[in-house]
Amino acid sequence: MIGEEDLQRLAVLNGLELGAFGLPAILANLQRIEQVAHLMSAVELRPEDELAPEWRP
Amino acid sequence: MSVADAIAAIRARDPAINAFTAITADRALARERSLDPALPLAGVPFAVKNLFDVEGMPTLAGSKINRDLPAARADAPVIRRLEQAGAILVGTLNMDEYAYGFSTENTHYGPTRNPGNPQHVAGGSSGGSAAAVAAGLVPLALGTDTNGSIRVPASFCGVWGLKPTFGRLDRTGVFPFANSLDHVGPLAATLDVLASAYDAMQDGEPVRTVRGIDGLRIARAVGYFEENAEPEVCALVGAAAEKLGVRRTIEIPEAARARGAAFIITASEGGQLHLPNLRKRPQDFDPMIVDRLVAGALVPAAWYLQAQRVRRWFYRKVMALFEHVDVILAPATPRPAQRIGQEMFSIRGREMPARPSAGLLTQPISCIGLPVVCAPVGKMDGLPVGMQIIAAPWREDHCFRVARAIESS
Repeated sequence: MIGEEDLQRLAVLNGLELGAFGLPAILANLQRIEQVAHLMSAVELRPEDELAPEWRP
Repeated sequence: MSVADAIAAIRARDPAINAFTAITADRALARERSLDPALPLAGVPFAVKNLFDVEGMPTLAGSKINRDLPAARADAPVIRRLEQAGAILVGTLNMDEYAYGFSTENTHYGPTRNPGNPQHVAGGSSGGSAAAVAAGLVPLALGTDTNGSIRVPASFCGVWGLKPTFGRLDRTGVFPFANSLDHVGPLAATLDVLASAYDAMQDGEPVRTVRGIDGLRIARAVGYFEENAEPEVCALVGAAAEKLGVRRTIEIPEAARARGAAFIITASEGGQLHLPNLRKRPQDFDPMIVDRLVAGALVPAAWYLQAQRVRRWFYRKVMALFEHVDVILAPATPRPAQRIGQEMFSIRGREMPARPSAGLLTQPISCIGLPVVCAPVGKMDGLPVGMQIIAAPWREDHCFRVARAIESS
């Protein structure tokens, strides 16, 4: 699960100063998104689910 | 009703509801003087969610930050199309800041109140649009729907709403929220006005005169759509289906995952859109949305891209259903509008966060851009609830055929 250190690193990478915001609420939101992302990663996808047309040689 | 009467009614009655953020009286009165009475929407007053460009006004999108933007140099094309059909713009309407909410509890402009009970929310994010129509201040309003922002307030306020197929109506001059999910659509007091307004804005076959459900294969959604709605709401949808003679049920598979995909895509696209202002002036955002915007701006690309793939995967599954049915009926909201300020509500005994959960039943559908008419079907605890009439992409005519049958049943 994403923790406070990860959040701080992500913020630096995106040029955001987190001191202006409510850190616990942002962390809780990002952790919720992470949980949902795990549900997404469990889906067995097919080539036609890719965002671009399937590439063939 | 003359434009002058409509404006007088808005000035007298809107303060109790707080649907309007501006009244365009001079423009409306000038427009009325040059009106062609033969036009299909001749003299119909309408108002727009304040994320539509209106010439001479900054496009607020419910924010404080956008007050600093230059005034729009032209109306959004959908406004021009409605005016070409004779409708008259009388004002702009309240919304959740940057459309990121289902309740229109806007910190900068105050909450919009539900005309059915002013202690309750109007829904959102097109809450001003639905409330203005439900209060009888205008018969027609424009809104936008990314995850349910037309259908949730239409359901909560008991008015008709249309979220057309993704890409059907022109979004030029409309302030975005999540670009790959945003839709424009009308809300109206009657189905006639809803259909006429949609016809004025679209380029396909007109729907105003379509009638009859003979030959349509209609089913009522069960599974996820029953498990996430109060029994009384399901009973109202069941009764509406019964009146149409619909006995077939259908399960839309993987709706929960589709909602998850919409949730991630919205967070990421919305967060990225506002990242420059989150860096420069974080204190000027509505506290109701700012934490979600920041979290969304930090979403890793892998999560976002996987959500987009899941969206396509879900689309294929639902398109397979449309081989066997033409229209699917489902509740629009899990229950009626919560009180203003209410944090939690109950769905089948489960305590859920009220604001995000209002979109439980709309998000899976807009995730893949299907057309939906939201129809008022009754009341629970004295407040309205609506039903989604869902069709395959580009088949708004099917939605309207069923809506007409419900209207006359």
